[in-house]
Amino acid sequence: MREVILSHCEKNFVNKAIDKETRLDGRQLLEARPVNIHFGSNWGCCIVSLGRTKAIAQVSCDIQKPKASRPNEGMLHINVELNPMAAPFFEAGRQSDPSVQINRQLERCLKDSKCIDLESLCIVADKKAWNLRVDINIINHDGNLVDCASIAALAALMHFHRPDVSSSEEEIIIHSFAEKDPLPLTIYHHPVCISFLVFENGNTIMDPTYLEEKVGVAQLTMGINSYRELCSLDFNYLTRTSVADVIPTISNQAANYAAELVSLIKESVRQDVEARYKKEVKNFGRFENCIATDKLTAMFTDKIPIKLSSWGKMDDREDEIMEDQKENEQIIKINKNSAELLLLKGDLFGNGGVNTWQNDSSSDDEEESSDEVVMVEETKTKCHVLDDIELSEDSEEEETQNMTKDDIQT
Amino acid sequence: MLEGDQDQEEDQGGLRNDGRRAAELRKIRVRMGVFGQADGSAYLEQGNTKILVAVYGPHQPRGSAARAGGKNVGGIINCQYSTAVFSFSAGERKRRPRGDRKSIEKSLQLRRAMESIIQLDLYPRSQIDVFVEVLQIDGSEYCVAVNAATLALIDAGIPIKDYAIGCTASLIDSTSKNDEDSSHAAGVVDATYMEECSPGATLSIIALPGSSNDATKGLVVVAQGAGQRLHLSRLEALRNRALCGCRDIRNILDRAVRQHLTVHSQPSFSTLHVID
Repeated sequence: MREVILSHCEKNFVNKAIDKETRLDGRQLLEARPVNIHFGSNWGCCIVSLGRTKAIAQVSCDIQKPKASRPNEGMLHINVELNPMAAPFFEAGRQSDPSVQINRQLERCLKDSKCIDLESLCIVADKKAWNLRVDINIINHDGNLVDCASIAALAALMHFHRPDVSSSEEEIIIHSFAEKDPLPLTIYHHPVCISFLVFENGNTIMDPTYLEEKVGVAQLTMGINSYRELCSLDFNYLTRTSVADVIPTISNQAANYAAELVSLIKESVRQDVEARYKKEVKNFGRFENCIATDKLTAMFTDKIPIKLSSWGKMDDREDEIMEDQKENEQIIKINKNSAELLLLKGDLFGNGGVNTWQNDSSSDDEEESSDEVVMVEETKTKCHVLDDIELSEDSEEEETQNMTKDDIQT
Repeated sequence: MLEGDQDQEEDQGGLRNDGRRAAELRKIRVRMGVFGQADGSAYLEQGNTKILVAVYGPHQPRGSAARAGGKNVGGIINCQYSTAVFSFSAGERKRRPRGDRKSIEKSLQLRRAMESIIQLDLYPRSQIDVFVEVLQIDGSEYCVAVNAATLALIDAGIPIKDYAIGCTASLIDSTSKNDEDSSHAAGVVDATYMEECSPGATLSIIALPGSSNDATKGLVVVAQGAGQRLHLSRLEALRNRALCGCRDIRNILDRAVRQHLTVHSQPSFSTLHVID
């Protein structure tokens, strides 16, 4: 299926919004979407959601003969799949341009920066070494696939544990997890990709959504670690116009956000790994928690992001707003300048709450019938107007022009 | 880099392994119009990196590019970046000349660079093919490919806005002490294969340097960083170094193009003169 072409109206709308330094989802220009990481039951398996963009990563390993050029190093393969599941215009099993680009960006960010100690993965030099493979599947495409995939890959690699190996003279023994505790990988530094998008007017935004990606002029992806070190850099024009150089101005922001993001990933990985070491039954941060129970479908949301220019000033008026709303809704303050309108959990239909769907209840029928009555009345008055005009048209034109609806009704 | 190498570097008096200074380019050789069949062609050598480019077009769109951009009113540029199997100097052979991820990525970026200079609105519903063949690799091959493609476009007589010039700047040893007075601290331009493989970082830049003499004014079209780690504070210096290299290469190529044109248009001028 072909990608749907964006209309000029939408393009202009996005461009104008960026002109006024607002974004459609209420973020600041240089603000990223929230990141959520959930881990699966195996080592090295995680789902990462960046806003509505979702990626699932799985690390696996097997033993292979190392490359002749590097006989004492293990290997690392990174593969990103863009399926029709993510978006209908991706073709399955074909190396399309975007998939090659994402793959190469991740390879440069994770492989070429040598963030993983591959030498520790060698078992017998020139004969046997661990071959790590990171498979990343994009589940939903809402822009900025690179960032989401890189977070997923990094979290999965940090979470991964390989089986222990002991080698005696001729043979090597791979111990199962029951025999010996599995070992984590040695990671020197933690690079993540941070993407930016430049618009026609020179404004730069962080973490673009799908819609914004189609409007933007140039894209910039920086692979950066928490020590302000650049591991990969990609700057490309998407269309044939030119903008000023943005790399120097935003690299600082990228470095700050990268440090923030890496500490978030580290923390969530640490919590999960510790829980596993203690063999606790953890009831947060697992796959089952990423399926939201308060929603009928995973992508359907009742949350309405509200952007407030000044939250503090709104405090005195807040009570009035709360009174206006139904009792089963609640405003949640997320950040300094944003809030979300949320249904309260206890009142949901699935949890024994009231059915809020208005399908075939009797009250609806009544409402509809009353609507019809109103409609009839309106048509009647219209008929009157027409009649009057027709009548008066014969004699004098001026009077008909001056007549209004109110005049007739009185 | 090993300790011994650093001593050696100091012995060399700030010179690189091949005897160049930090901001010095390798020897550039240019031949334009090397093929009879192609509409435009060029052969470019930068040191031991050797690249051949052929340009066909503008012609009626055909092949997969035509089907993909069927609704496209503007021109289509089709780029193919292939590396000869014998191109490595170390004696190892490349398995496939094209079709692997690195080649596809380079084709993609070559197309972006070409799109930025060709005046595509002059060629509605037509296609221009750029075929790049890398004959020998000795560092910065992608940048040399872009330079050669620009020359081939000029040879084909396709109107371009400016030269698209690629240049690499490489920080050979990012772990060394921050020597501000050392000329290597800002990176070395036009890196060779050995310099690219050293544990530093390499920045490849495709820029439109324009005719102005201010080197840092160049418009960066494609930038790509590879290698290990580079502290952000060094990025700006590395970028400026690469842009300086772009401007130098542009001047050399511009002179070569003018010389080529005067040599090859001489007969036609003389015939015109006779007719007068």
